[in-house]
Amino acid sequence: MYKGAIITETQKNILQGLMFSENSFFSPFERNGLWYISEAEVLQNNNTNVSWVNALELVELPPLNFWHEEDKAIQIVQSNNDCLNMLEEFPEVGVFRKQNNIITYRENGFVYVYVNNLFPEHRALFLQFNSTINEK
Amino acid sequence: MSSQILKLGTFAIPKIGSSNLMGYNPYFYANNFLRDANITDPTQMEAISYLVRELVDNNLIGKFNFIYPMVGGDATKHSYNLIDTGLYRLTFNGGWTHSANGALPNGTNAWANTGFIATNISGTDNAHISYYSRTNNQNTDEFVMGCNSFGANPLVYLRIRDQGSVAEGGFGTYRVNQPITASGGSTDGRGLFMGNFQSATLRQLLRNKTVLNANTVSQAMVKATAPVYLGGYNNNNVAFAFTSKECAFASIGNGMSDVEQALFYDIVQEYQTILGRNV
Repeated sequence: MYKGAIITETQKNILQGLMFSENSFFSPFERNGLWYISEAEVLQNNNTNVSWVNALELVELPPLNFWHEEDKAIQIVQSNNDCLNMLEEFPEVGVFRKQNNIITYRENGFVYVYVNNLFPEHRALFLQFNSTINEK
Repeated sequence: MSSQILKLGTFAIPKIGSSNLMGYNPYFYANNFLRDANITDPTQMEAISYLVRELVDNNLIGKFNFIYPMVGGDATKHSYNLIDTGLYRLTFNGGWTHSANGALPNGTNAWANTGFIATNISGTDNAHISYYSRTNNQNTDEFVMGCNSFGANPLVYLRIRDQGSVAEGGFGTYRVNQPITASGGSTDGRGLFMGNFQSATLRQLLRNKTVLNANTVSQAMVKATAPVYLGGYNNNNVAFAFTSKECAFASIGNGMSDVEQALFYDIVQEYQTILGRNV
């Protein structure tokens, strides 16, 4: 798991465009609504104008909310294979899968399913299996 | 590959021959590289000496717009372009770890701006993009180098091992130019990966000397117009799709024939061997 330090929006604005060491610039990034800099930027900072950076607390970065398929409108996320099993066990969803060219990814312990659209009855089935459904 | 090494510090020997392009003296620029990057370690000097001499002697030196040898050390040493230290100097951003093995991006916010724009590649319908990776892992939506044209087509990019273990090289119009894709996937993310675009009808994706896939659809190459980023992808001047693959060499320039590509790999691999970090 990668580490970083949470910074405020004001601190983000200060750090953008500044060097933390020779030929190396800060690159604040947003994740889940919070701004971060990386562990390397904290540990390697020797810019005395922003020496407060060295005192920032390092925390584990939350995982990215990946959206692998830009042309798909709906993302279904599960922490196990239940939704994939469901796709095989429920014939109507199986047909749905075939018709809609569902795309799946496995990553960091999660299964990501992407579809163009989801009928209410199928949405209910996914939710039965503790899936998270995200829409663009 | 010959292991004969130039005497240290003798780059200033004028080289007259076919590799001496339009008065370009690679030894002069290599000397500048050693000076500007403050390379004083004998092994690193030997490795750079070998790299330049072999690229010259094999008539490859004219193929490159930039070479980042990532010879080992810090962000300053890793920032300079071996072809001309006054051009395309890298500016590093975010979480990079620099070591004797090269430059390791954190895969979260680390990228570097080459300042290089693909339209500067000379010639028509040929180009290459290469990255020597020392890391075998997968990254979601990874690009090790690339850009689009300020949010639009055409693109230039190289990816080594994404979430589907797919390596891919693109130079042109996305999904119209049919970027070369390793259909079977690359099971090892280490080595010299290269998108080699020989002509309008031959585009190859290579790992070391192995052609992972080739695309022969006839299509003229259109070159991207925004700066190429290293360690990620420049999407309309915003970096994203970061990689965590350690970079021990990177280059962009003209396309290479099969023979030239094999020579290029041998030279780069021997360069890494001299530095004791070959994979």
